[in-house]
Amino acid sequence: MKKLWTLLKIDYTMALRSKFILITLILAILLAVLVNFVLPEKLNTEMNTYILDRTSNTRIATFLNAAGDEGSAIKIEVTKSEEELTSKLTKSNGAGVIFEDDKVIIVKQGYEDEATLNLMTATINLLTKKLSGVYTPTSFKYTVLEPQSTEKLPFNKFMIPPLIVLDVFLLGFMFIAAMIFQDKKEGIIKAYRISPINIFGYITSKVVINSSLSIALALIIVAATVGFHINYLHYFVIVTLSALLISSLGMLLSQFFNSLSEFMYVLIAFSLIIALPAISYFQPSFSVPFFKYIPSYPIMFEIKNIISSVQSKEIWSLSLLLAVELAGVLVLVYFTSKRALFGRRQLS
Amino acid sequence: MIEVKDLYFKYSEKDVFSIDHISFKIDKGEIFGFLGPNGAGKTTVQEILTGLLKQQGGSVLYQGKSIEEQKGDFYNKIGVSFEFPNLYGKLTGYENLKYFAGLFSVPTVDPNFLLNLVGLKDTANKRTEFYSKGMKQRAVFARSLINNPEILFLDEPVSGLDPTTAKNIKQVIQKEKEKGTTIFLTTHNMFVAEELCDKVAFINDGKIITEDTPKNLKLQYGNKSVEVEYKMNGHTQKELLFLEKKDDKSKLQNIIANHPIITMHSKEATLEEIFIKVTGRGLI
Repeated sequence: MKKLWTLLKIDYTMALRSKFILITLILAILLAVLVNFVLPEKLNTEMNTYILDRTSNTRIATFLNAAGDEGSAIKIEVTKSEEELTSKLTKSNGAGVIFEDDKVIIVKQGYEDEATLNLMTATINLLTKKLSGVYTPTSFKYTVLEPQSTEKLPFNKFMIPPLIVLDVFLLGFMFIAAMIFQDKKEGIIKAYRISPINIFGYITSKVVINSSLSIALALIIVAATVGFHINYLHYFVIVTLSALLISSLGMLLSQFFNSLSEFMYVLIAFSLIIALPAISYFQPSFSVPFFKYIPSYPIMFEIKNIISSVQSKEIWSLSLLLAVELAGVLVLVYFTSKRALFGRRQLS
Repeated sequence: MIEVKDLYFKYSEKDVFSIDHISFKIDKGEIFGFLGPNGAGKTTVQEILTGLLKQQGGSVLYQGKSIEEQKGDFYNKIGVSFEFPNLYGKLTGYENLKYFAGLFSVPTVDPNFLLNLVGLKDTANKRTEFYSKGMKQRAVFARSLINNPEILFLDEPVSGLDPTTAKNIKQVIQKEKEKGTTIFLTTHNMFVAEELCDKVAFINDGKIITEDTPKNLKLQYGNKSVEVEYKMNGHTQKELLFLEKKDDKSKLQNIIANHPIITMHSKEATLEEIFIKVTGRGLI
């Protein structure tokens, strides 16, 4: 225990003097400022539709002016001339619809996705059906599959889980690699090898110190942006296991390299893999089954549940899964370190 | 205390032996000098003896127990000073020693005492990244003494140090010997070996060429010589003459009789001269 305590003190001092703690605090402030003051609570995704009625009896304009746009998925505004329609389109994010007696012309910006255009077409069809008296619904109602998640996170808070996974945990991954390279560069491992320390102590100390920085950063960000009303026990458990897992992976991979420049390719590849589940996070319809096996996938969604104060049934099963993954990685780190860092050189 | 038998090692399958079937024995409390030029295999032997390199063949016994069987406690009993200093640059000299002391399960020495011993008292609180090479080397030497080792491995302990500091370090080594510490010292500096070692082994190309006390080696291989400086035809001449050679002896008599002598010194062969004689090569 005395030896482990000594190693922890060494690694803490090294983290402090290598400015890891300072970097962590600066990053915490930057991310808190980003979430609280830079990212908007709501993204302006509202689409304006400007209508020009060139039909002979201007029935459409008359109808729309009378009905207003209440309940419509698209904000509708009737214009008086093509010049007005063009002018409004150039100033705002929207599309134009010109009704003529025999056709409908849609004027688009050019970057609308297919879903938006289909929505417009459906709205126009509905409008024409209403005008002809074929179909006259009296109201619209929206229902969702999972009522629990209806309480939508503001956009800035919605960004916290990917920020934690991509910045906070990766920081621990990079810091532990930097520490290993420092030890290799300074020949410290050779000094350890002629002392009575064990590999387990060396690994534990590095993983604990670097994970602590990630955990502290994750706690500061959520406390500064979400507040104290969430379940911090759940948050702490998930964040701690995730930070330990990712730092251990950092140690597992970095021990085979000698410098950060050699390790850069691994770092980029690892970052990309960890970031992949963010695609599903932002675009739930894009769900590749493989993503679910990347640890960052469940971590991101669970952190989202926690900061949304949604009671998740999966918190403990995910914790168990992370603990098992962590144990597996630590066993691998132990055996690879025994050979790569502490192993006695044999025939090359 | 330490018995090495038929030890060999090669760094790769295709290489020639870096250590070629060597044997030697070190008694308790003895300073054993392992002498040879750079690349002769001195550090390789030290790394095998400390367990840093895996033994490929032969045997290394510590009080009859193989190095392979040694457990963690073995490292509580040894101290190693590396040729290339390995310290935490971002820690001070004091912190480097204090934290290293925390890794041992045996009573340790006060870091300040050791830093004072090697002349680093005034810079104890300076980060070692700002130390000169010599200061780092002294700090590593001090660190090797932190656990009061029974066996001390010193790899070129005074290489690159100024004469005053080197003298200081040699005194510390001598004191360690007086305490009963067994010391394995590798060096290419024959004066250091001559001054400190009870026994020396010459190593060249991975082989031990000869092994004995410095005194016996001198008796066995050294020739008494005289270096004489004299005036001849207005010019200063210098000669090294070996008294055991008949020609040199009469030449010396002739110089003394016929030329004004400027200086004349009797010389005993140095270990370096003996090394050159037995290996046919210099020490650098």
